[in-house]
Amino acid sequence: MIVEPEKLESGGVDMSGRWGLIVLPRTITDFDHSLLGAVKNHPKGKNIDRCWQCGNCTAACPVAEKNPAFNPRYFIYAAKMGYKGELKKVEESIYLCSSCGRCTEVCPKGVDPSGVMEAIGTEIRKVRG
Amino acid sequence: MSETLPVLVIGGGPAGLKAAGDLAEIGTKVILLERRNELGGAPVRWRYKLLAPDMRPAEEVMTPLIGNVESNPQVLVYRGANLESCDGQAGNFRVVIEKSPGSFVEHRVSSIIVATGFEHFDARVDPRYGYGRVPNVIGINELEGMLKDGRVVGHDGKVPKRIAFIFCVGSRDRATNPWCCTVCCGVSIKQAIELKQLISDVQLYMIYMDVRTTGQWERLYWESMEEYGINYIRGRVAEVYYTGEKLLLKGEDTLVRGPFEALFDMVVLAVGIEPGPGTRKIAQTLGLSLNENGFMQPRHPNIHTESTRDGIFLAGCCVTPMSIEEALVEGSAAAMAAVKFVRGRTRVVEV
Repeated sequence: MIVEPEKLESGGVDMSGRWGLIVLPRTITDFDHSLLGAVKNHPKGKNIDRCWQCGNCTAACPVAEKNPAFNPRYFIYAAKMGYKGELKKVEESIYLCSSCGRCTEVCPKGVDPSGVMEAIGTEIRKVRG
Repeated sequence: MSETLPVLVIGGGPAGLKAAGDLAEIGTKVILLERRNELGGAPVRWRYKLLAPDMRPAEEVMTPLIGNVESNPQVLVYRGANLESCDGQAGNFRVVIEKSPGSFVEHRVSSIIVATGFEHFDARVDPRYGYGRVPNVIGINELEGMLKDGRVVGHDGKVPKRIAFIFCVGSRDRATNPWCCTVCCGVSIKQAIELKQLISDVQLYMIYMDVRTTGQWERLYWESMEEYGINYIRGRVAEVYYTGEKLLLKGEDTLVRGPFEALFDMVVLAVGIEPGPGTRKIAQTLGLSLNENGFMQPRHPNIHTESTRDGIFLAGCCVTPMSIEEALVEGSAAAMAAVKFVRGRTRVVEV
C-alpha cells in the first residue's frame, strides 16, 4: 500500500511532495485469532475451521465470476489467520454476497461459506480499522 | 540341499522383522542381520509413540514383531553386525558376516531379503532452516521422542506456545531430494494433534506445499482442523532467523500472494525419508542396482519384491518411502517370494 501524506517532516527537513511517498510493507507479521474466535461464536460462522482453502466456493460463485475482488475463499482465509488489515481493506465487498448458496452446495467440507462470510462481515465491522 | 539352508534377512526394522517372523513361522531357518545394536528399525530408534492414522501405540505392532523373532529358535539374530561379503549363487550364497568388529563368521544361505530401511534427511544440508545452527529447530524424528517422554520444551526448558511445522524438508526439491516421502504429511499432522493434547494453549501452524495424507490417513487432516483448530499456511519458508529469543520465519503465503514474517517458539521440520548408508553398502556388496534416487531398484518398478539379482528380494523403505503398515506387507511378500524361490529349486519328495 502506498501512502502519500500531505505534510511530511523528517529530521527537521520538509519532505512533503514527491519525496514524501511512503510504501508500506505488506508483510504479514503476526497471526491474531481473536477474530476467528468471534466468527466461530456467530451462529453462521461455526464451521469456519473446516475450510481447507480448496477454492470450490470461489470457483462456483457468480459474484466472483464478475468481480475478482470478491473472493469467498480469501475472505475466509484472512479471517482464520487474523489478517485484519487485509479484511479491513475489503470489508465493504464482503456484503456483495448474493446468498445464492452455490458455494455451500459445492463446499466439500460443509463450511457454508455464504454463512461464514456473513459472520465475518458482522465481526470485522466491530474491529477498528 | 538348499532347502535346509537358511534365508538371510538384512535389516531388523518392520519389513525385515516381518519377513523373518513369517519365514520362521513356517519352519524356515532365518539369519537376521541388523547393523544397529537393537532390533526394531526406525520405530524403535526414533522411539515412535503413536501410529497414524488411529493413534495406536507403536508397541502394539513392534512388541509382537520383535518378540516373534527373538523368541523363535529358528531365527539366528546378529545385532551390531555387518555384511562383509557375499559370493556364490542364487540358492547357495556364501555370506561372511562381521558379527562384531574384527570377528567374522561364514554362513551359507539359500536366498537373501534386503530390508535396509531408511535414514531421515539431515536438515543441516539445507541451510535455510538453521537446523543444527540455531536452537529450537528440530526434526519430526526428534519430536517423536519428546512426545514419547511427554515433555516438549525448547532448549531453555520453556514450553513452546507457538510452533511451526515446515513440510517437505529434503523432499520434492531438486536441490536436495526430488521424491515425495509419502508419510511425513501424516506424521507431522499426527504430531501436531499430539502437541495440542499435550500443551493446551499451543498454537500450531503447518506450512505446506500440499497435504498428502493418503488413504485412511486423510482423517488426521480433517481432525486437525475441525477438532483441534490447527492452522494451515500454504507456502514456503525462505529463512529461519534466531532473534536470540524466538525464531523468525520469513516466507511466502501463496493463498494471499504475499510475504509473511512471524515469530515462533519452535520449528519442526518434516525431514524426509532417504536411502541410508546401509542401503548403499548392501547394494554394493550384493551387486544390486539402485535407481537414480539411490533406492533399491526392483527388477520391475511396479513389482517391488524381486531385485535385479536372482534369489535376492527387496522389502520396505529401502525400495521407496512407505508407512509401517506397507513395510510389514512388503516383508511378508518378500518372505513368500523367498520360499517360492527355494521350493522351486528342490525336488518335492513324494512320500
